Amino acid sequence: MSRAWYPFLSRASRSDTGINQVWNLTTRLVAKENTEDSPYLIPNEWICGNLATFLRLPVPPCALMRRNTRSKGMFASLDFSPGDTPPPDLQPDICAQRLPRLSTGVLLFDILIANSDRHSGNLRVDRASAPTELRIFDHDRALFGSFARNGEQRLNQLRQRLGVSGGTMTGGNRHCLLDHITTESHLDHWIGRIGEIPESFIRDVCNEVVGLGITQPLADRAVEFLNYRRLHLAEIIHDNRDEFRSIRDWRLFT
Amino acid sequence: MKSPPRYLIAKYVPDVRRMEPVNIGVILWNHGRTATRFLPVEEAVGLVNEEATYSRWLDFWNGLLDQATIKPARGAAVPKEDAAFVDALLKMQEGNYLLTDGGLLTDKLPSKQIAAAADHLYKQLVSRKDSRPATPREQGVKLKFMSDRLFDETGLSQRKDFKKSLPVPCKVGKVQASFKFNYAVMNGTLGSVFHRVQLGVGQSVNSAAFMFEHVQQANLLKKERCAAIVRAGDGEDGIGGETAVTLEMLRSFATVINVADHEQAADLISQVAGNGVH
Repeated sequence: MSRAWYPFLSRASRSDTGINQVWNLTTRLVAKENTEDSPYLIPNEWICGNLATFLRLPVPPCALMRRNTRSKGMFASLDFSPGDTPPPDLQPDICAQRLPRLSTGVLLFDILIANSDRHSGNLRVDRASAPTELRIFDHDRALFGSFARNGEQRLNQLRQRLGVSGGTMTGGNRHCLLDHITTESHLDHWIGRIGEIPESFIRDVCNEVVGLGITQPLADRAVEFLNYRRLHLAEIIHDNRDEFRSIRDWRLFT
Repeated sequence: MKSPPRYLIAKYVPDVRRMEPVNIGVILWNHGRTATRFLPVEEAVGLVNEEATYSRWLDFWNGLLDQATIKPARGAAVPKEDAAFVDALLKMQEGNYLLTDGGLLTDKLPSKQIAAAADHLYKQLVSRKDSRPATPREQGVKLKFMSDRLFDETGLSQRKDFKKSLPVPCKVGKVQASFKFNYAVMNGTLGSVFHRVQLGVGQSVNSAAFMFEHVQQANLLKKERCAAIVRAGDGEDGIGGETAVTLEMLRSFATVINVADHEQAADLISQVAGNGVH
């Protein structure tokens, strides 16, 4: 995938360095915490962010942060534009046309995590009319969703569903790229890559957030959910072929 | 009952930690019709940190207002005729770029007068006529922005023979010098050169005159293929005194293109570029 650069705000030399040039950099992080409205925010962001990183999708590097051992934890990710905030001016059709492979990757990743909240506000491009770079963020409504005590139910309900169509069962909004992927040529690649995510990796990232909004049994359910979907992604897409409205000529599943 | 005309104020926050917003535009809604006035990008130089991002926000907001509905990230699309349109629009802000509720106009607003009303609000709330004079650096950035835009609009910047920051080797006395021109047309041989000149900065004027004179003395280009790009007379004072003298001096070495006169500047750029003829 393409290299992503992150600007820093300032740098200072370190006095304790030897031969190599080592710097203390100042940059900016965006941090969020669990709230009543979004009680699964940290586990959702952490698990999905790490899965996206594994797939080399353009998510900002992230960390779990807290001031001290007694304070509440937060999910933090590097701010990829510490300068002025660009507008949410993504045009999904142009994005899918100019960056077809990456756009397909984002869509299939969102299907894996059942992200029912992908819109032009949480995808960013460098230029709306001719994007060359794409960044993705905000996965706080994927996986366990955002309703309190509804995490397990959501996983059960969406296990075999597309999870991104904005339908009555999934809720949320229709994935902004779903109607604009015009070719199936990159589906196979991403189905393969997602299928290769090790179960041990999924288990580790899920276990890392036990106690930060989810219990161990719920983490185990998430492992099972993700593991099932990564292995049955082709089948899930096949069952929902009609939702890919711009792909006219299916060859992948014939 | 019809909702009264309502307006929003667009604001820019240079540093979100300090939160000191500056008004940059107004959006007036009147029963499905809208009128906007934003600080032009060239006027925002020195105010915003990134002109390109500012320009994207203006395009984004204007683009939303060109549509018949606004589709929020979550929820149903809101038609422009609906009074809730303004509420949906209010959500289209982020980070340094804010939209705030300005208020309601208590008087009836005939649809023909919406533009005039937007002008009035803009003058009252946004216009920077009384602001401090731009620094030379800000003037330079403005001139660059307006020049770049002209080359884009005339289509010259898309041509394969168009170059930016082109070093031109040229003999000065016994020395082989290299003059860097801001823009040039070159396809094997040098076709024309354009250089931005800040009229209020003596060094900028003198070095441009020196460069133009020497490329002509070296028979690299004729005078009509050399252009000095300036910005003059777009304030209330017009062109006079020292500026007029400087312009006259530049005219002895080059075609003077004044970006303040947009149409004439575009014509002159095409003329000096020679429309692809070398």
